[in-house]
Amino acid sequence: MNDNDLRSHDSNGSTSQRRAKGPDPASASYDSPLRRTTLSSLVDAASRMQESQRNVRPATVGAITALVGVLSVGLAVLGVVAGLPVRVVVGLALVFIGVTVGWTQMSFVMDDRLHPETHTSRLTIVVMVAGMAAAIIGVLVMFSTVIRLIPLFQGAVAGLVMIAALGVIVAPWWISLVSDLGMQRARTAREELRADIASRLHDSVLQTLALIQMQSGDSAKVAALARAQERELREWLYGDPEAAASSVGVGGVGNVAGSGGETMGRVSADALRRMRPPSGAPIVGIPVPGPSSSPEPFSRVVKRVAAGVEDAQEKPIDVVVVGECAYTPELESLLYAASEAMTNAAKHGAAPISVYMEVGGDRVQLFVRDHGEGFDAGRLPVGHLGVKESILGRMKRAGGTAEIVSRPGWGTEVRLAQPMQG
Amino acid sequence: MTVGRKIRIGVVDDHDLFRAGVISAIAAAADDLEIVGQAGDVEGSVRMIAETKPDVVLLDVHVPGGEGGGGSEIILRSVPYAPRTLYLALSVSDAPVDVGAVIRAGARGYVTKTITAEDLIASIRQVAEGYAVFSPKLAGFVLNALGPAQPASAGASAASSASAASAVATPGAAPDLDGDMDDDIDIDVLSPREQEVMRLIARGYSYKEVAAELFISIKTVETHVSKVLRKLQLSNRGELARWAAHRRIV
Repeated sequence: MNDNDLRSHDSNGSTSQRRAKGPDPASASYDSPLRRTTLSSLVDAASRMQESQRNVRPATVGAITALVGVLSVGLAVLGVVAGLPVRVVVGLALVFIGVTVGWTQMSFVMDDRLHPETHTSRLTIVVMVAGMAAAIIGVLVMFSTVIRLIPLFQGAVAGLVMIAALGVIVAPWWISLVSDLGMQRARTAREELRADIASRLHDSVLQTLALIQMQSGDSAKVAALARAQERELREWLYGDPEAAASSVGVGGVGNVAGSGGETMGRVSADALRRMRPPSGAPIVGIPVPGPSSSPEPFSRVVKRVAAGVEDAQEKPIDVVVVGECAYTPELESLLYAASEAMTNAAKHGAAPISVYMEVGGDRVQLFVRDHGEGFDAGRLPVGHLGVKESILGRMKRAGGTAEIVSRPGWGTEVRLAQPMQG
Repeated sequence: MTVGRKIRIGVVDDHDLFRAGVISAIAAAADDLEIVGQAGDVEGSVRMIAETKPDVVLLDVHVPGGEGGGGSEIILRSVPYAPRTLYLALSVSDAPVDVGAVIRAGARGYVTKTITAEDLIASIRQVAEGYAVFSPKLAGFVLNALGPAQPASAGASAASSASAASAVATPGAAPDLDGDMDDDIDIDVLSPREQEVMRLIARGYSYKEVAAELFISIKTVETHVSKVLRKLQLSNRGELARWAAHRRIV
């Protein structure tokens, strides 16, 4: 039982995550003990998961027995006080017990629908049969006040045969109802999934395609748009779900505002530069990690910055990440230096531009490599001097190291390392 | 090695347009590459590979048909018919599941479809010569799976101590006999040299640049890379095993 619980919750996790829609009235209304299909039990699993968080504890067998007992005794006392014949009172009480036991079964059945083995366990069947027997005996006892014994039994047999016949007649209708329900559930789940994907595509891919058509003359722009869209879609399809989810939320707003393929969740290189005070002093709270208060994984921040540079400079940048750590203020200088290096690589270097980040032991290393012309480190061109200062100086002040390696014809690599505490 | 002989190529991709694009790019750019077959689904691909026995198959990861195993299923089903054929996976996906699956099935490399025609042709040649093709992404993937930089810091120290142990073990084994023995010893961990090579590739270095950086020959780099690929294919390390199980490869 416990084992089962664990397993079902485990599988629930992924289902409810994928649906990510919150409580779902549609699936709840199909919550019926008729039949289980794989899909319907998955749907149920999700809604059950949500309900279980409300902390509703199913009634125990003891509580129900006590309640039924008290109620039936009360009913009997009431009958006796009202002056009914004893047999009628006893019969009524028995019928009441039988019916209530039958109905309370329902709560167990609904609750344990994910555990078919308890659903059809011996106990359940025994209780069910006992309930029926109690009800039938109750009816017989009641009517034994007005009908003699033998006709009573004959009548009872006739009644049972009639019920059986009715059951057979109703069966086809019943079966079709049940299978309809299964199909209905499957359809609902499919519809939801489809709507989810459609809204996603509408917010991202369709917008980008529209933008691309508008700007079809500008091939660099088109390539940049396609690249940005590809990155976003890729993140959604294969990336970590959390990042994708946050980019959906923010991206939607950005698209409404008409800014198109770029999501606002990204910090562009320009934005980074604008936010940096001229002194180069560390600033608190740049790449805003969204609404969540927990620290963001550093790899995601780096990827976002790379994406920003990619969008701003319209050059592809490949980011490879090994290891992971949380983004803390002490990594701020590293991030700025990396952003500067990426912008520089995109501006002056040539593709392929590779960013490699590795978290190992007590430090974070970051490499930005381009395959441009390179330059002679001894005779820095004018534009490079500021860059050199902003990268090397910044890292030095933050207690990290930076090295710029450049060879003519080989390209340039900026090697950054930042020690971490603990 | 392949002088005087054309490299025979099969192309497997379910996107007709993409397939046509790859074929025309290859045909236009290189004389020594010859397209001998193409297919768009699992059954067709297996048949094509069995009939034409190409040297290299460019393999899309997500191909319809068969039992839903895509590229890895094609490799596994084709091996009995064309044991000498090599595979280069070419996909839009860089999801670890997909990368892991085709590499485990036996692909000699993995490149994404955004690769330039030039690089693609270079990669095909590399595979045809028997070497593995590692993109920066694949190298990062390897370092994540087998390298010392595990996400958990405890894992990091454990793995680095393990790699230190392997550094001791490798010289212990005769270096010239390293073939299988070496692999048996530290199948789940990269040797320090292999780590260096992988790290440089992940940083965007070409094989040539890696060789220059480490003062070794390109052939040595290629040997290291091929060894890493074997480890990747044989390793039982948790994540890899999970990918494999996910795709029912083992």
